[in-house]
Amino acid sequence: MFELRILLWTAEQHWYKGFNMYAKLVVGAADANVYQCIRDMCRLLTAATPSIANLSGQGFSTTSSAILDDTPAGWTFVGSSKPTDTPAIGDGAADATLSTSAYLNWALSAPMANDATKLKYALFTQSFIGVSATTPYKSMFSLSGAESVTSAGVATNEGYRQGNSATGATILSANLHVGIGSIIHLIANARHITIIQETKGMMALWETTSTDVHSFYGKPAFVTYAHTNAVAGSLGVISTVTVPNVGTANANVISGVAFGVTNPNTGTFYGTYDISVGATKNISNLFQASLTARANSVDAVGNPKYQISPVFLHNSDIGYPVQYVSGIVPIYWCKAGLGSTGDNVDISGDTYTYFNAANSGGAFGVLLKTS
Amino acid sequence: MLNQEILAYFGDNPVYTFDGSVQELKELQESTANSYGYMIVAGVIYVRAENPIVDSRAALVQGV
Repeated sequence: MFELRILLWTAEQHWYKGFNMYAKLVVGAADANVYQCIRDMCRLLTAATPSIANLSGQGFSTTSSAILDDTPAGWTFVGSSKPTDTPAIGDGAADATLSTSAYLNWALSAPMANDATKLKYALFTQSFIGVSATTPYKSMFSLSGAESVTSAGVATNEGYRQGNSATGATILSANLHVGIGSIIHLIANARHITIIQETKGMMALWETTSTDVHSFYGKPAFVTYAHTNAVAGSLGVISTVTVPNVGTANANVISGVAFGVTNPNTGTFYGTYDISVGATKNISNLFQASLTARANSVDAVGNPKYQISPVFLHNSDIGYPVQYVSGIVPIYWCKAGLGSTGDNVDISGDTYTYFNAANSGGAFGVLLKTS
Repeated sequence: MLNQEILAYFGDNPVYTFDGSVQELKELQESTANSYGYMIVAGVIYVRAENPIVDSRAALVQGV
């Protein structure tokens, strides 16, 4: 346990000390079936009492996985484009044959804190499409958001599914995956779903603080965020974002989307709004791609200090004020290599868990209050 | 000719205009199981869909 002092954050704090469902999901001795893993995660996220019993045994390992906090996450299952998984999550035998012609999805919803009649929608999508039957590439998934999804998995204004290329001999791996050795940290409450894969990255759907603009247009304030890195070795060494929905391929592995935003100056409505780092429109602290981000600092008398940063975004050029993720979601950024995943960190009396989300390249650390 | 804002949004994807309301677009989407994303510029609904849109209210303005 060590203490971090919060530096350089003078913005107004919104402290919502919520609890999370926290499941540490471990893949067993072979690449897992991504259908079953997604089902496992959806059951956990929608369970009244999350437990190992929610795991079918055909996805994540029931002996190595653990539920570290069984607070219900509070999400509701909406449906799936897979007919056997709607209106309820299927419990059948393992789907040995993965589709290579269509993305299959599973949708969840949760209400907003400021208005329970407004929902945010999350989609898990099995990401393998292609001609290669190479085993590691059959175990990939992405998390995206949407303005709405039907029980048949038909999405309106779905955001980026950061993932792998649909064609070509070279599979590009910007997904999360459930290949052998994968460890997935699934942390969620009704405000967020945050998935961190050790040494690979993270994908998340985060509610943010709402703004007057959101109130004026009657829209929920939430974003999705994905930041993955290539893993050297058999799981692929190339990282590129493909965005099947919006159709723009980026050259990095970071993507973010806001949903259903309107520029009050022009009246232009964006079903999905790109807040990725490559765009100049969003001046924010949402992304951290630099290895030197959050370097160590000192206090007034020279004692060493670590830096942590709040997560926020600012779609200023379309007329939106700053929106905070930190405070709504108990999360901060910190530098990579601060400790080992699972280390406890004290931030002003609150205990957070450190996660090492990536091991090289755009390395970064995540602090989440998990209980 | 689509303006720069719309081109930047949709990239190289097929783009349709939809002569109807957002609610009608949504009903069409659900009845045809066709996921889509849309934006509204100057009162015109521009749509990109997972599968081609076949409807008298939809007019293809870019793409295949």
